[in-house]
Amino acid sequence: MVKLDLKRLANFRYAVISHVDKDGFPFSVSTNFQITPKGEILLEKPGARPQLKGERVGVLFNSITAIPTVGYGHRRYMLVWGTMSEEWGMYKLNPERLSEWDEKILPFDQLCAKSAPQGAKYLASLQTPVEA
Amino acid sequence: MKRNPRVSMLFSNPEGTTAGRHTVLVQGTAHPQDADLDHGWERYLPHWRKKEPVIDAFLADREKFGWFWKRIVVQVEPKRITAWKNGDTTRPPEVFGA
Repeated sequence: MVKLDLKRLANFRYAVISHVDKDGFPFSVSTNFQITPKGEILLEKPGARPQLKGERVGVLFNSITAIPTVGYGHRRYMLVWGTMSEEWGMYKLNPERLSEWDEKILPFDQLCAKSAPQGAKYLASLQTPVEA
Repeated sequence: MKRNPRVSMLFSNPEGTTAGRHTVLVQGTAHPQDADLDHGWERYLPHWRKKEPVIDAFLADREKFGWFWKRIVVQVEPKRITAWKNGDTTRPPEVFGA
């Protein structure tokens, strides 16, 4: 089980639950969440998906604010992968894996520098091989 | 996305729209267009400009922002649209399409 910074998680306003539908398309829905004193993450049951119990899901907590002049601020997300169980009439997320970014911890330009090798690999894959 | 083109887009951030606090999920098939990263996106510029008029300032200095102006366009062909009026996802949504 992955360890999460629940203090930071509590600062997000809502969560987005995603899982793969029966026909293979990703299904996502936003919902409210709360963190219990025991550190459990409980999510309100969305009306469209009554049966997520036992399902593997990704739950995204994110924030982005448009700056009136140009660009965006307060950019951060925590994407938690895990399975769902039920507790107190809500879904309980059992976290297994985490990917995250918070521009206050890693500024945007540093994030770009860190991601550059992945971008370079993609661009290289687009190049048409030239015969010598 | 090229390997598995089944995608979805969720419009749920109430700060991201002026069209009311509704929540809309679009599930569909993605068609990535990455044959021309430098010019393939230019036909969508009028839509972009409408959303972010400031983009023209970046465009004027295009040569200074080489990486910024390399863009992949992903066209999504909708298969099913799920909509929650007033963003209340605890209520059953309206579903359009297969």
